[in-house]
Amino acid sequence: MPSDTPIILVENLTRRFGTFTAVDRVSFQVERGEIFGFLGANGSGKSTIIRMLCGLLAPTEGNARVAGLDLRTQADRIRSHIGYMSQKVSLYANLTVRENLLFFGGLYSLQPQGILTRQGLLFPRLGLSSQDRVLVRALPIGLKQRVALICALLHDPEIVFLDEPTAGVDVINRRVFWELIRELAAEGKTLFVTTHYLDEMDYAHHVGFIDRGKLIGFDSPLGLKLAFAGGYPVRLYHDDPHVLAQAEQWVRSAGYTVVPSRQDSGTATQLLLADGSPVRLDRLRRDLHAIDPTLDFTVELPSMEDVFAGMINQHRDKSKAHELSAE
Amino acid sequence: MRHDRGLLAAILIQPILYLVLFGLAITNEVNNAAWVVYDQSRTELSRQLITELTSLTALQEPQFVFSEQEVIDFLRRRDGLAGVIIPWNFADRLGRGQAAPIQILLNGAKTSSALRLGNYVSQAATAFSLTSLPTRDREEQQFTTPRVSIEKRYWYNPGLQDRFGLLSTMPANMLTQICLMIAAVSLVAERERGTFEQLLATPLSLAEIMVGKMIPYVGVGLLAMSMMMIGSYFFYGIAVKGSLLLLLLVALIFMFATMAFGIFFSAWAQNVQQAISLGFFIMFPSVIITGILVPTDNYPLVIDALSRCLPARYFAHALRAITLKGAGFAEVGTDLLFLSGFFVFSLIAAVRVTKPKLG
Amino acid sequence: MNSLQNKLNRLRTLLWREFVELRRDRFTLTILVLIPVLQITLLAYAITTDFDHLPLCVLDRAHTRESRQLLDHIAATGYFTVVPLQDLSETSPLFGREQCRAALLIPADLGELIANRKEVRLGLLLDASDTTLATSTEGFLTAITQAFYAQTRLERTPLTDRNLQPEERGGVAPVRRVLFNPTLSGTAYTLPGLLGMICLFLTVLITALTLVRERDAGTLEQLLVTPVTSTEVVLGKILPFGVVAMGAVVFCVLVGWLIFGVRPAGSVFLLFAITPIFLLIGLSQGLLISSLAHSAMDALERSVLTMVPQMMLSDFLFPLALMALPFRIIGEAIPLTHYLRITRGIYLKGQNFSELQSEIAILCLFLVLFVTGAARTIKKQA
Repeated sequence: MPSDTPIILVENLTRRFGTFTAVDRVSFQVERGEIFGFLGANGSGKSTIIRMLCGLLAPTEGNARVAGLDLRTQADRIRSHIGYMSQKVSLYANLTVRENLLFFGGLYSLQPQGILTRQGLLFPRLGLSSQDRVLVRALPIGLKQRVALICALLHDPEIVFLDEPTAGVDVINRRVFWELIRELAAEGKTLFVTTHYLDEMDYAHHVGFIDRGKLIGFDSPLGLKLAFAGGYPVRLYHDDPHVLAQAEQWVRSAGYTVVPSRQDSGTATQLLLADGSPVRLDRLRRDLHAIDPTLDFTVELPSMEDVFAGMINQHRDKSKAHELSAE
Repeated sequence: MRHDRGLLAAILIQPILYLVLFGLAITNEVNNAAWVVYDQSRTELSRQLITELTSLTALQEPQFVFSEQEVIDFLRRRDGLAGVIIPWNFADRLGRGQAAPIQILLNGAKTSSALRLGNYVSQAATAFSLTSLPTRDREEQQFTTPRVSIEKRYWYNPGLQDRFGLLSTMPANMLTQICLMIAAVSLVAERERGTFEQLLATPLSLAEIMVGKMIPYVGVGLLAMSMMMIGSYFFYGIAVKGSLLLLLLVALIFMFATMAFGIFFSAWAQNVQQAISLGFFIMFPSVIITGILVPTDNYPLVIDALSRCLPARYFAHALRAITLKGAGFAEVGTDLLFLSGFFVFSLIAAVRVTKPKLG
Repeated sequence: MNSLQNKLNRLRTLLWREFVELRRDRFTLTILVLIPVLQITLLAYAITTDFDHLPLCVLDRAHTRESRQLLDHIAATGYFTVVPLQDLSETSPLFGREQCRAALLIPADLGELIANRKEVRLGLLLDASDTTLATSTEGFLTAITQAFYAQTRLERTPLTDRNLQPEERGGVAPVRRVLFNPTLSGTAYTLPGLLGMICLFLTVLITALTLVRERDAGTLEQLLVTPVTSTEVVLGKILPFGVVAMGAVVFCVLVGWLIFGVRPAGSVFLLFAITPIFLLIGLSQGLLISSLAHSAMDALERSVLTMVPQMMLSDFLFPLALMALPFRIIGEAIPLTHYLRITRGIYLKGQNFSELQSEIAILCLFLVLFVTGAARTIKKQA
């Protein structure tokens, strides 16, 4: 498969349950080697989208291509290329860790030897000891998650779908997870992750926001934040207000589009650099230092939470307006 | 439980099911059974015998066959109930005042029906000797054949209808099933789901929690039982001879007793599947050996002892006694006592057993 | 990925897992083994058509030598225990407390009637709340008393040159020949029926429960994401339980044979060859139930609901031939009915393959129906 085609291509994917539309004409694409994050409230449709892409649920309308295979006609072949870790930790509680691995590996027609080799590679990466004769039932949830992830990775899939992999997991374990996810992406795997933890989205290459079945935002995390903020919110610091004013003057003249600023205290000025493309912060720093070496600035991008909440509100207001105008 | 509509519907369908099955379908009485006859004699006398037998309500018009093999085939391949072979010298022997044997072949694979039919036919054949033989021989018979007849009266069930006995104990069957299974399973299900722990955190004692769990199901059980009884009355005319109140009291105590019993056993189950298997394990004997389907009179010692350990026995007994015999408090007092005792002991035992497992 | 080799590998993995879990679940396993044993034992002892030492209340108004002889004779048969009554009013409470199930009333003028060769009428009160018991009691007593009086008569008849021998007594003498179960043994009758019940129970209930549990735990979804096809999932579930159920059947046959002395008159191997067909039908039933059930409890109740009518209308406990037409039709539509005809045919009648062909064919038809139905539903389960 040529490397310039997206590994996941979704077109107008729709899923209805009776009269309820869970997923409404969602379109996006994911590149190979990307970490793609999916954000959404409960019931927003994100799990439904993943389940469709995994072939668990048939789309009502629309289609998708996963790993070059057509979702509607070649779903069974797609399954050998993907790994899936569901929301509920779905390991067999009455089997040991080892037995679970052998089981899931066997389903991908892996030989026991091969499975054990993979286990040997992956376990240390996830900080798991070789104690694999323990019943899964006896493991704490953090360890269960890790084992479940490894089960999804046994057959070395090109794409891994992770549906809320860090739900209910403590901070340290979450860290471990995301480190592994980034490593996997660096190795060329594509990871499709849904989560509730908005701060985790900063790790992703691209993020999609889902609300009530619709895709309301699709961009890199930085892009989303910029779009929401309207630009780079930059804060200049200097003891001398004159220097600040001078810096501001310079910034305006240097070709940056500046949204009206505020001087909220004597020592700081808030500017918003509205620019089409990302600002070259390093150049800005050099330029500002040229004015005064002690001039400092910080970029205060909004948090993902702000962005997400804000976008949802915008979306809902818009749809309400639509409804009202339709009456 | 209100959320589990399917469960509720399933429970309430049972009375209807039983009313239909046991009221209409099931019968042990042999009526209009098909039979074959191989008449080797072909005389007036043999024809008379056949007519006599046909007049029995148990039999319909026979099919005539012409070899012994055909009779056997009828039983073997077509699963017929009985066949009669009248030997060639039937009339001659009777004429000479000798005994004329006829063969009644019965399908042993249908044991109970065969037994009944065999009795009827034998009796009819013997009676034939008394009424249908020429006068000369009749006097002979007066000397030799027994002139004893039995005049019978059926108590409690004048029409000798099968459904009386069965329907009166069906509530016991139904309730046993329901209560045992539900009790065994619901606590375990809660334990699995984790909501049980939340209950424990409340000021309620373990016993109170258990009893609280039982109460809604008792309500449903009583409802189901009432449906059965009303249905029995309207469709089959089976009225409760004794006190309705007493009946309900017994049912109530029984349900609590059975559920406590079930809960006690379910403490050993680690998950719902095990609880269900366990429930069935207890339920089978509860239905089979407690007098619901088969009377308990003839049990060997061991089985009898086992039967006495099950609450259903006392309930079935009391149910039948009150419904058909109009028994009062005196007769079912011991049953009530046992049931109450069961409840108390089971509950205590259940609490004792569950506590350590919770840690 | 869908080559035969891969399919077999996956199936093997599924089966392996199921067996490991089963082995771990000692509890369920023990119970699964114990239930058949329990059923056999209980049914063998509990369901008998004859009885002994049934208390028979007797009100003897005659108090003559003949009446005492009659009572001795009755007691000597072992079927009844004679309980003397003083007054008719005693019967009501005794019946009520079930201390006696029948009461025999001997008229005061017994001696005269016998001497004058008039007809003797004995009164019999029967507790008819259990009709089988009532009719059996009646039948036995009639036979006993008639036999007794035949004997008495003979003794009193003056010897003439006719020299009446018993076989020259004249009159119709019915000779009973019981085919297929000569001893009319209750156990022999119920064992083949029991085999059917065990098959039904193990397959329907356990399959329904297992699948529902799997679905609840989320593991079913995880399975379906892998290259596994739904057919393989179905097979992976039903084959292990099929094996367990088959084991139970073999076990029951052995127990019946060795401990209760019930031998099949026909070929055991034929039985073992046909049983898997019925097991598969039951397993498919279980699958169908699991696809409709929401929770384990729901699956349980549904299973019980389907099994009760099957028990009642399949000729298992109650004769189908005696029921009204609509019920007989329903009965024919139940796979268990046909399986029981086969088991009883083999056990009691010693039937062979050619005689049972039609029943086997019907079972195969059911199999196709149920399995296709089940295969369709598994897809919807995630």
